[in-house]
Amino acid sequence: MSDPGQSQGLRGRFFAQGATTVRNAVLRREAGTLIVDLGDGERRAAPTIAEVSERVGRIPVQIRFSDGSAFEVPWDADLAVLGHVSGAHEAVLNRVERNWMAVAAATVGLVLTAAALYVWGVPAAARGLAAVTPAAVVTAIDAASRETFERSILQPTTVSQARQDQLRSAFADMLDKAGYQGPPPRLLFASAPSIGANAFALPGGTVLVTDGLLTLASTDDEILGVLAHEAGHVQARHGLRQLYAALGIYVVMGMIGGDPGHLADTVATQAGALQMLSYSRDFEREADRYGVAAMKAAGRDPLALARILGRLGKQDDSSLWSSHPDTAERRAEIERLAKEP
Amino acid sequence: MTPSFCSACGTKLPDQVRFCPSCGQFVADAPGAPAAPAPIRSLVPREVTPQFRGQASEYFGIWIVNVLLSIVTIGIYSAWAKVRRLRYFYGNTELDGHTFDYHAQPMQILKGRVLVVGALILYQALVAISPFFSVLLVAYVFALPWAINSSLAFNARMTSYRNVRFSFQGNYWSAFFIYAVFPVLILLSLGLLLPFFSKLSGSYVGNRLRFGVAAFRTDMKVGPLYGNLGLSVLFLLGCSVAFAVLIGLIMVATAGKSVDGREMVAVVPFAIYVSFIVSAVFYRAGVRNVLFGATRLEPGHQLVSRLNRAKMAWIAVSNTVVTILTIGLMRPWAAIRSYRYTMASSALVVQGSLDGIVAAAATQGSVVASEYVDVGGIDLGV
Repeated sequence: MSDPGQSQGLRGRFFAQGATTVRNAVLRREAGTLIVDLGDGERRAAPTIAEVSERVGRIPVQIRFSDGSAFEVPWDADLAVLGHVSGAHEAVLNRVERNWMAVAAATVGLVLTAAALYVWGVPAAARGLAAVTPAAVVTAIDAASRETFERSILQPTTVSQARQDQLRSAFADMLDKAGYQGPPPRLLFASAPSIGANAFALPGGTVLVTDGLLTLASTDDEILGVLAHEAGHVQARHGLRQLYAALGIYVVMGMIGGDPGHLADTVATQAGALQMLSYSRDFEREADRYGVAAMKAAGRDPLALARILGRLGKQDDSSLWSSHPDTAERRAEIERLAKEP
Repeated sequence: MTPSFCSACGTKLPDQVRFCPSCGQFVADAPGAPAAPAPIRSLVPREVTPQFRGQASEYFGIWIVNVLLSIVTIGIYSAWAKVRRLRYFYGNTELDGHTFDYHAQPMQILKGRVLVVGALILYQALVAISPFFSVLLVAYVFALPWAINSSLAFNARMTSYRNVRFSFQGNYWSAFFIYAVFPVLILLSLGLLLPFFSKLSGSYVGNRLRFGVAAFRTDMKVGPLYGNLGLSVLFLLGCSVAFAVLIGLIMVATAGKSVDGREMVAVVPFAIYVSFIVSAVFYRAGVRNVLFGATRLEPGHQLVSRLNRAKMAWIAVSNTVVTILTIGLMRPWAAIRSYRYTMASSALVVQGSLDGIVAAAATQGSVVASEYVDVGGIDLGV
């Protein structure tokens, strides 16, 4: 105790093992041994150090001993007295997190990474996953969603068998001429009053057409135009890609949220859904391009799609939340594509 | 008071000096003195409020590194991120001069996460292939009570205060009734039984939690919970109307001249939906107040919660708006803000002192269950 250099120890609090009893104490090294000095001449050799807690912000650092007792010091205490043990717990992260330049760089890095993921990463991963998804899985998903639809909103069609056969063969003939390469198409007819004139494609090649659409169409070319558009979705595997993209966005959002916040979680999920919508705008344009090409290849009128789009648009243009890009914009684009040689 | 000695030169110190008369060393918290603040050994109860010392600017650094590393490592770092986040919040929460700590090992959490996420993906894939696999939901219902108990046990076990761990001892069938059966009754009663659920759930946790060997004891009355539900419903109505009007005004202002009447009507369900989420925050704050007010830590330390429900709802709404407007960058600020308010509105009325509470052995719980409850966003209503 007479040598001041040696007696300068680490001031902190000593937590006895197995109870909330706490005392101020000094941890110091004497003749190579670590001593806990509790004052009043009460001194004991420190037990083996089991762990030194990592530095996070400015929370206290705990030196935990193997017998369950612990010694707590301020976050910025010099742990040199512990000897080699302190070296193992160099708080690199803590220094990075406290350095404003590093934090600024991380912020820029995060914004760039997130933007890159959003624009390229997630769509590319979704495209890759969709491409390698086994046909059996796609067929199974297709069948499952068809079953769900049939149970919920679909009713038996009123379209005659002869008319169905005629449209099926015209559809097959068109895809044949257009060099279609997706899963084998399967055209289904159903009555679905709740969704009006509509058509949609399931991932495995099922294209569903409502009776309402057949009523709305004034020529067969208009029906086939819509079918060609849906075949475009199937060939490019849009359904699957959308599924995977939504999943990817959800995962990334979860990481950014990082902590439970009820509202933020909900909003993150909604944002995932919005993301799906903006993908599907690109998908719609791509399907339109394919539709026009297929109609041309089959020697049909490519503008028929634009015409029925106009009428579909009037049917429900309350589409604040609709996934289809502005109908006018799409029609103009179709007309432009139709004029191209 | 027993005599103490200067830590620098060893001189015996007179009582109540701040500096050593011999060498000038600062000795106010000399070794041997009970750790500050000095416990008042009186029988007069004193109220201590948790002080939260975290700062948004400081937490931002931790958060941004957490998120960046989590994304770059395709999620692996998220386990380390969780530990750092919780340690930052616990370690900055100071009650009666001492902080809390969180002890889970990141590697443990990572393993739990991998198992849970793997199982969820497998389940989703199976259901996507065939709805038949929805029968797995039956297994889920029976595993749920176990998951909730193990998760509560794990999280309690990983939390310490003054070097003593918390613990939780669940009971399978009690949890089964409260978390698997009772929610069905709530639906059947159109929500009228919700306060009973809050009472059951609060009492379940509040009577099975321990700090060392000291047990928590909860005796909740359902009356105040019904009062809380009534106010929450009024709040929901007010919120819905205000929100619908707000959206309507925005639509008129942006769309100008002609706004379709049907479009205006279509906004109403959305307004109610959002208001529901906000009202849930309101209701939950009320339940916490009632729960804390009915809970003691043996022998007689009383818990206190004085959350202002409307203020909690406001904090949740404004936090969300600010977070969205800043594409997530204000999330750390928002998290600190709501945590700070929650802590500042809580207290513990200490009878005597918190010294001498003895640690206890207890079940370790399951990290897989904890991660499941975490990932699945299960809300225990406490």
